[in-house]
Amino acid sequence: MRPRLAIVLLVLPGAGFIFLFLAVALTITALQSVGVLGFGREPGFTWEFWVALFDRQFLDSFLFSAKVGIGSAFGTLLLAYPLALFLRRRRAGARFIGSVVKIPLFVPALVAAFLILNTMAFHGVINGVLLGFGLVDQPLRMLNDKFGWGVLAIQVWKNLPFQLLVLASVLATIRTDIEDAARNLGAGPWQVLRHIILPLSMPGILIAVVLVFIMTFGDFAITRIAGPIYPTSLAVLMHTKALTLSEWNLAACIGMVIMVASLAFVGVYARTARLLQGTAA
Amino acid sequence: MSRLRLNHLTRRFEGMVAVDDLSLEVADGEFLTLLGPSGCGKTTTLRMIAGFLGPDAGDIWFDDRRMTDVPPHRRNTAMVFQSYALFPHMSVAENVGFGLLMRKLPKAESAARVAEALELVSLTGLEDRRPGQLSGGQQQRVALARAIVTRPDILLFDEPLSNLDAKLREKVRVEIRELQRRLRITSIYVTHDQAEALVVSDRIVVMNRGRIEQIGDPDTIYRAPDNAFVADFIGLTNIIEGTLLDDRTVDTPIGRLRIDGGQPLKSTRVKLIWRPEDMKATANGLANRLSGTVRQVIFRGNVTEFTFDVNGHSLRGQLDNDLRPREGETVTLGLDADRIRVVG
Repeated sequence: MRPRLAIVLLVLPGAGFIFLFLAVALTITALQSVGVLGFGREPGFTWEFWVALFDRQFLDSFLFSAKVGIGSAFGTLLLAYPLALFLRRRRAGARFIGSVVKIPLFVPALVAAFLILNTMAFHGVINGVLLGFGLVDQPLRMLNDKFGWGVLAIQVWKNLPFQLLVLASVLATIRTDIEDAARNLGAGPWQVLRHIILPLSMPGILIAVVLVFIMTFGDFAITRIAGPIYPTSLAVLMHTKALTLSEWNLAACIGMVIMVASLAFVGVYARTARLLQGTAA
Repeated sequence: MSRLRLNHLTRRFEGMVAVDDLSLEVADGEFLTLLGPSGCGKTTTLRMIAGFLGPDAGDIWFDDRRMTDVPPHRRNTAMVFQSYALFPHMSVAENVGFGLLMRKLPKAESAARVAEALELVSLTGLEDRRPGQLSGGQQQRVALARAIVTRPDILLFDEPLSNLDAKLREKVRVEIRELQRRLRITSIYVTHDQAEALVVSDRIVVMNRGRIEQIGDPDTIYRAPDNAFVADFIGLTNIIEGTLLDDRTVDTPIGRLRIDGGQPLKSTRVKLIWRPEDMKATANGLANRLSGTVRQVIFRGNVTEFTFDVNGHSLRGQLDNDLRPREGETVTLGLDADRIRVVG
């Protein structure tokens, strides 16, 4: 077999599969959003759905999704990075903790939402404890709250082990003798972190943040269960528009927005990160 | 610059003793080498001096300061690592200046000292390169500059040349020695390469199984090893066991050998040690004659080495190339009594 043919045969199944569904689905969605394709309506090009899209509800949903995306990505990082640093040293208990925190990886988002529902609900465990100790007079509203704390909490819980895996693998590539060299030259623990560990783990931090943002920005299940009634996330709004209101073209517009916004975030974030790294190093 | 004193240092790893009750004094400005096979405890000792490892027992002193419990970043040592351990995300200048940044030196002074250090190791002009853009030899020099720029009390070398090719290794070891002579920084150098140890050291500590086998200057270590381990580890050696018949005669499997009298020995079972080059092509006038069949001849360029069998015992010899024996030939070599080292 000629090598070129072999390469094509190797690449085609995977790449072709992705390309087929991506290209076809994207094209259909794009065409729907401008009315060229659609159900229950004469096909024909129009911007009317895009014009109709930008109402108050859509903007609130967009901001809510952006808030959940960014909040989850960095909120998780805030917990995952110190944990990854701790687990890096083979201290007593590190193995046990490392295993326990990975449990959410095996719990589907919907199940996770229900699990946490019982803990954080109006009559849930946390409120029970707070009331019991007299720390609050009334149960706190932690789920379906207007801000979305409930959603953020579940997202962080769900994505923590994922970020932990990414960060741990990057931290593992930093050789201990580089750390030793820094200590030897007079760097205390914080200076080693700031001048050596942090800059060298920056690629992993970037990836961890971007991936969690993309996963949470387009979230449906957790917002549907633990999110506020209004505003809701873009994905939930899209679902409502399509299946409840049968506004398929509007739903397609929202789908486009989710994808383009995710891409835009990755682009802007990567560029900023590179700039920051350039000046720091 | 400091005097270093190690006081009954012991360190175990999971039940294995890596360093066993080791005591040692290093003078101010001295270049001392810890030499031994892998697992002898030399690197563990070095890492304890740097503070990366704590001893299970014993003390470490720099001059009159007890350093045993001082964390590494407050010890003012500087180490050149086997892997160089350069910071990959910093330029050459930032790597070298890191120790000064940690010491919060004013920028201008720091820059001047970095430039000076880079000049000492002939790297001027490469300030803005990243370590990944440098050759192995250049990275090694950056590591060296980074270590000396802080003016450490004690300079530590952890097999710094083992990642360089043979030719560069010989060049750099001479340079390290010259640099250390000029700066007079107390230096501890860890290696398993006896040739390297002989070249760079003021004194050599030969270690084995966490203990010191012998301390001495290179000449003493080579010429007058205290025991068979040291003799065997440093260069090629002939070691023959024997029984002392009288003060000057030893009965051995290769015949009776005459030795110099007056050696303080504990028992009559002794080991006789001599170097291949101690045996001469002419036996005339020498105390001992050794005859045997040549087995293997190795041309070394400047000399020829060979092994020959005497009564079933293989000995190593060395002769000038024009006296080179042939395989299967019978040779007779002379060995003077004062060339034989007798150990108990």
